Amino acid sequence: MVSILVMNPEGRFINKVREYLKKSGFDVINVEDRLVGLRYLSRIPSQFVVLVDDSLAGRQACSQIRYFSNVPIITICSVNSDDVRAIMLDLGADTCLSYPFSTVELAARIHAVLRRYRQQRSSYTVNNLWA
Amino acid sequence: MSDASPKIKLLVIDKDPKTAERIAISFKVCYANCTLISAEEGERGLALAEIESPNMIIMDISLTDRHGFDVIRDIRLFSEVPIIVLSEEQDELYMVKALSLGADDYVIKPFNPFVFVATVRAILRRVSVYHYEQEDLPCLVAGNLTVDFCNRQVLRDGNPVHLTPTEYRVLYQLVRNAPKLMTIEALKRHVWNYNNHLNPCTIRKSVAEIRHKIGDDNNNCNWHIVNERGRGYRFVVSRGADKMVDEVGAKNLDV
Repeated sequence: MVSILVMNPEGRFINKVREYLKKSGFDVINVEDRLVGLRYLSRIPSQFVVLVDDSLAGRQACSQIRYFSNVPIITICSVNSDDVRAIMLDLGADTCLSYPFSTVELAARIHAVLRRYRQQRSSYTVNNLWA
Repeated sequence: MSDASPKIKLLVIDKDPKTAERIAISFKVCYANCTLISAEEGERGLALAEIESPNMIIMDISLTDRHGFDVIRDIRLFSEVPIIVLSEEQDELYMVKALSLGADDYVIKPFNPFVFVATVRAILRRVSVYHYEQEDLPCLVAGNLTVDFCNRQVLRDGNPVHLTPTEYRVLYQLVRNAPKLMTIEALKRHVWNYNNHLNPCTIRKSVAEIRHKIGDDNNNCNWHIVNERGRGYRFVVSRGADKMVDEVGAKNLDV
């Protein structure tokens, strides 16, 4: 089961979405505090991070995650702004969604990113064996 | 590394030639070494994807001869190349279908060039951490020191030297940019990822460790890490000692 860490400092992540993700077979862990989320991630590796925060602190959290982990990140922005999107993507996010978004789209994107991530991991192991 | 402008080859499949043009313009900004191939029909695009093996495919869903979904499916039969779908269709069902068939991202037209390039970069980062660092990076051989970029290994007199990941990154930056000066700022940016709280001593310590480990402290070497006080470091090789050999040559040397 894929465990998803949802970092959601303002408590905006709608319960419905969480329920939907749980139904789709994901194990959802919701964290409200960024630091708690980072600490959690550094100790217990999750397979996926959904970051519901595009504030300055959220951006920082995004690049901090990239500092120690290669975990896929989807960010959900509060505004539909192209600038914010480009920034989040450059800071290490894999995909960027903005409100309002559909749960189906979120799940489809999570699957798409996970597929790529798994491939990358397998190519790494092949690489190690080869080296 | 992203700013070293890696060579990438893009395939654009779109019935409107203007799209390819717009993509080309957006890409020239960030990827100077990018080659763009374009096809207007699905069949031709499929053929090009097979022959040219591009690094990324950008395609529209509505094509004249075949449906875009079929093209995605057919590409996935033989290749794992990243596919970005660029479509006018705003319906989420199209998006979900494209993503589930194997596309990596779905961007709605008209697109913002900055976001688009950032998206491509994000996907390439995922895909190519492995490819780019492996590809066409020669080894540096300077006297008794060999830096093997392909295997991420440093050899001194033929014996592997153990460097910590940070030390390797510092050495990598110095050697790749030799004999240019790597400023403290540049090192911070490339090695420590813009960490502003970084203690300046950390860089000094890393360089000192590298020097110690690869034996810069004895005078017989024909290469040195030179400190420009207050500005940065440079990797200098004395004349005649350096030669860049390609992968094959390096392997022969190792034997």
